[in-house]
Amino acid sequence: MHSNMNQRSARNLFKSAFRLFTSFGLATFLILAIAFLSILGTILPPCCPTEHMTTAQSPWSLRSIISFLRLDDMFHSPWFLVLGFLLFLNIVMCTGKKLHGIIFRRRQSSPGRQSPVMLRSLTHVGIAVILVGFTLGGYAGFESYVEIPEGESVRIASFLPDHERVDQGLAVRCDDFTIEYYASGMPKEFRSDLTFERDGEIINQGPLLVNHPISIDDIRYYQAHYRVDPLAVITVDYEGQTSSFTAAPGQNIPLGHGASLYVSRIEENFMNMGPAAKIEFSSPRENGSLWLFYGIEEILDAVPDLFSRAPQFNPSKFSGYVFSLAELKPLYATGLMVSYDPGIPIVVLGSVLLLLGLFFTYLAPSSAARFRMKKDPSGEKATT
Amino acid sequence: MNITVLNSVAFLYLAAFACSVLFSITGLSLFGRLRVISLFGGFAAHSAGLIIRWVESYTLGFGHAPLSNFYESLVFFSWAIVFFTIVLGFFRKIEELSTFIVLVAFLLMAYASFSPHIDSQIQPLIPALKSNWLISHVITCFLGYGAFVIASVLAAAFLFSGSRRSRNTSGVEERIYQCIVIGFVFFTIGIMTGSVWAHYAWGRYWGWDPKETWALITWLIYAATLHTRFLRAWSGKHFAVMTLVGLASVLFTYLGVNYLPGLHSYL
Repeated sequence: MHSNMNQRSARNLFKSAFRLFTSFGLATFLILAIAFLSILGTILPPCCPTEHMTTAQSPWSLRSIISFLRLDDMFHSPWFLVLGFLLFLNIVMCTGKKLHGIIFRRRQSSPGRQSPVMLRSLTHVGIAVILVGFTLGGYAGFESYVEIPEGESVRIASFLPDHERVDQGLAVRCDDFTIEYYASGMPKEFRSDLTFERDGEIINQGPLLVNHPISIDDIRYYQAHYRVDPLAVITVDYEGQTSSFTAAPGQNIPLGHGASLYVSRIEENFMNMGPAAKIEFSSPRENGSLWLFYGIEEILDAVPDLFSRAPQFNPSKFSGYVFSLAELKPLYATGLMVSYDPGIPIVVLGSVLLLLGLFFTYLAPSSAARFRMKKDPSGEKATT
Repeated sequence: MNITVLNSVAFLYLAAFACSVLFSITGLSLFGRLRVISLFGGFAAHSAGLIIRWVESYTLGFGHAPLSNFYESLVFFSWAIVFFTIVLGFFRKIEELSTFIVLVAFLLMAYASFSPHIDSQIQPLIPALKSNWLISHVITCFLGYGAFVIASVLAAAFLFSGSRRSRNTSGVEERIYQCIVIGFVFFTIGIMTGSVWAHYAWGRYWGWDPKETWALITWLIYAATLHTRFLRAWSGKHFAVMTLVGLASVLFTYLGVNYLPGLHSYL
């Protein structure tokens, strides 16, 4: 008898939970709660970094509370995920209840009248399927970003080391990066000419443009960004011999006879005197730093005693050597977004179901009655 | 040429608004006829202005739909509102509220046409906007916004006059619901087309960018509003208030997010 009572109370509890999870009230609450958390997610970081909110470091500071509650990463916080999961359950149970009702009633009434109701359920089925696809993409997919200077090659596995989908032998080379501009100076097109190679064999070659990704083995490559670094073209005269080098900041150039120069800085307009490069010269006899200017002759015309006032600007400062900056050249690096998302086909399926559901609910001729919905005076239940 | 035509639209909508007010006060059928003529004339000029602008963008060598900057979005937003005013005016009898709806359309066009802070010149597209998804995404989103604005005007009227004309309230509530449904369907398609575009342009269909998130918030608020129709306790005034909350979310999605860091920006 005691066991029967337990069973009955468990059944009642289950019924109450089922009623709660299939109620419009819970659905409305969950939708609004997710909307509220989403609002917090956009208002809190990154727009208002928590460190700006308060300087206090106590465990009860606003910053600490926000961080503790994971509100600084709202869309990955447990609150958001739990509410999303509850909404998913609510949708699945409501849809299941509706479909169960349809199947049960079909045995008793004419089956033709039930099909529009079933089609209208596609709205909620579609949302549930989208949530499944989104979750799958979040767990099994990945995103990464890589910058590749012109002429250089990068192995895909080097920036996606732990993902089993990534082909260890696949590499991408940036052959060229170009920016096309309108007459107004606004960028018209960003273009990377890429070569994909697997163990030295070219498997794909072509331009990558914004809005036109390249897909290889279900991994997609997007033109996302670019970086431009100036390169200095430096000429060196030594004992009547002239040589020329192109170098980036941080690059060391051996000059022979135990001498070398290191390019420490490149400036497009240094002290309003135009393009300049700072080099560190080193030889067995002497060493030191030197600023090279592209327009050194014009500067000397304006300031004839420049070298006596600033010896570090004198390109003949080191005995036997005459340095000059021939030009600054841009070195482009393309920025690629690399992503893999196995959930996309499921999200697409869910979106199609959602659209079909909306169509059959609101727009199909058979939904005219639905469009003029009346409420059941007893409360939550709707009739058409 | 297109700017001249579109500037004239603001005056025609102003005339439609003025005639509506005069018609309401005096009851003279002349004002009623003038209201219809100026509204339809304004809408025809509005449509023509958009088409001329599109054609002119080709003559300038850019060739894109007039949906790419803040000015063009304001113009199309206003067009969507008047489009639904005319369509729903025929089928759903909202002519008594068209005065206020036309006022909103006029204000949008006046702001777009005469604000010194808005550049009305045709500009070329930056690489990210060079996509056919631009047209479908912007059109569907703004058609959704337009229907939501009309629902909100109806809801505001319901709140302010509902208690005095209780016999008509269920009818107005029904029309609010219908406008939200229309807006919800278009806005859902707008979010989907935006996701497809984001998939091709940025490498992910959803990235919690503020604009995306606020579009979702707006969608959720209207989804909740549609669900409240099934809750007896939420009918009437609560339903109208929810509709206005939805409008606030629409406005923040359209304008407010420009002040948050993100990939979408008009300003």
